[in-house]
This record gives sequence, structure tokens and C-alpha cells, in this order.
Amino acid sequence: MNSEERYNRWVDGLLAGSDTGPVPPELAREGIAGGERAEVRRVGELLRHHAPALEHPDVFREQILDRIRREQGRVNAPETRRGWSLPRLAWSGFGLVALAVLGFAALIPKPWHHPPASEIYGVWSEADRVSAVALRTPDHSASVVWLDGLDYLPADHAVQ
Amino acid sequence: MPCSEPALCRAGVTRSGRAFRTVAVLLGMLLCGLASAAESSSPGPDARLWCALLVGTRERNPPSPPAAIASYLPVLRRTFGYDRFDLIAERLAVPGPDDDRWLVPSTELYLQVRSRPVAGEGRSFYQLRMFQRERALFASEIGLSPGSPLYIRGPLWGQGQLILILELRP
Repeated sequence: MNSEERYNRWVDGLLAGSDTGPVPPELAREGIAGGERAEVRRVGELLRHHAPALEHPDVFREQILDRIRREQGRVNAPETRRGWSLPRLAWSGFGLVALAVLGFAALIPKPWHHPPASEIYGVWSEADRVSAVALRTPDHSASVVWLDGLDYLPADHAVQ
Repeated sequence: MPCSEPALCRAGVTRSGRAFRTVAVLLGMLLCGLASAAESSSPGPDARLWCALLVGTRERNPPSPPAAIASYLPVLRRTFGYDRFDLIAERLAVPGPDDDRWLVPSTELYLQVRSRPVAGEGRSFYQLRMFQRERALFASEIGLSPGSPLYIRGPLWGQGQLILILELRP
């Protein structure tokens, strides 16, 4: 009989000669006081009173233990993540690198960046014998509307 | 060590999670700033248009061009093949979306410019129509960006050629 069975038998008063006597020496050595039996019995009575319809007490017990384990896990979790854990270091490094890249992109002048060139999206001739063509200079620095077929203006014709 | 903020700990929010959220918020703010900066770099609807009417001629030793067109000289020479360029007229205006603006109202050439109520990619958009007296010559849809002029090859005039330059000015 192990100590847990011995403890259960003592609580239930089944341990020979111990129902009214002092705590057996082997349990007393584990720090169990005499008043604990009455407390445990009272909790047992309460459980029997409030949960009388339990068909599978083992499952109920497992659920309670599982819940206790989860509660303890939550309380202990922050303690285990103290300091510079590996994920925290990785996230911090990623954030710093990203901030540095974005800051560089935003603040450092970019000599290689050229503003967009002007664009001719469409050109249509509206006169007979006049052709209108959109061209780009070879270095793409300028756009040209090239008109052909316009009437010649003599030199003495004032344009201004 | 117990959690420093029990409410957050109960909700499962750890310190590293908060650090990640802080970094994410900072990145988001920075991206918003970059986006607004990129947006502000696009010319607005009230961008000014500079238009100049020139005449290009062939001449062996041309004098220095007017200062207003000096920076355009390399492209003008390369594109139109003339040596000398003289400024006939110039005008700076803000074309509106509804009203017609006539740039360089010479007695011969008229340029009608209507602005389009959109801007993007660093450009302002316009609808162009060019007239020679009452005769419509061509229509065009263009997007202009500062520093990238549009050239229009006009009719021959005397010994030279009329050329229009249209440029967005900041």
C-alpha cells in the first residue's frame, strides 16, 4: 500500500486503529496534521451534496486536474518568457532591420531615382492631310507630338 | 517572477507579443508616412503649365539662346535638327478642368488645355487641342511631370519651324 492509498484510507477511517487516534507516524512525517482529515471529509461531503449525479467521477477529476494544470501554466508562462528569449530577439531584430530599411528609403536622397517622364497617351489628327504622331526622344527625356502636313506660313506672316 | 500586468497576462498577452505589436504599429505609422509623402510628391490639380512658342532655324554660328529656353537647347537641336532657336512668346497658366485655357495665343497657333481631375505617378493629366486659326489640328491626352517637357512640332514658318514646349512647373 503506497502513501496515497494509506492517506485515503486514513481519511476514510479505514486505517486500523486510526479513526480517532493520532495521525499515523508515516503520515505525520509527510506533514499531515490531525485536523486535515476533518477538512478533507467536509470537502468530500460538500462534493457529494452538490454533485450527486456524477456518473463518471474519474472524468470529472481529470477535468478539474486539467483545469488546474492550465491555470498553473498561465501563471507560470510569463516567468518562463523572462529576458531576451529567442523569439523576442528575432522579432526585435526584424523590427529594427525593417525600421532601418524604411528610414533609409524615406530619408536618404536617391540619386538613381528619376521622376517619371511625361507621357502621351493618345494623339488624334483632326484635320485632313495632317498626321499627328507621338514620339519619344531616344534618351526618353522628352515626348514629342510630331505634326506633318501643316500649311506653310510665309515669312511675312505674323505669328505673334 | 509574477506577471507585471496581470490583466494582460490573463488575456494571454505576453511581453514579446506586446513588443511585436509595438513594432508593427511603428512600421504601420512609417508606411503611412511614406505613402503620404509619395502622394504629396504628385503635382496637384493647380499645377502651373509653362508654354513657349519658338522658331527654330539653321544658322552656322547662332547667338546664345534666350535664358528661358537655354536648358531645352540640347533636346531641341537633337530632335528637330535646327541650330538656332528664338523665343516668340511664353505663358505660365493654371489650366482648370471646366474652362478652356489658351496657351500661347499667337495670331496663328492656339493651344487649348483642359486639366483632368486626376493625378498620380507624379504626373498631371491634360487634354490638349491645337488650332491653326479656326482649324483644329490635333487632340491629345497627356500626362506631364515636372522636368519632362512635351514638344510639339508645328508648321514651317519662313526659313524655320514653329515649335511649342509645354512643361509642368512646380
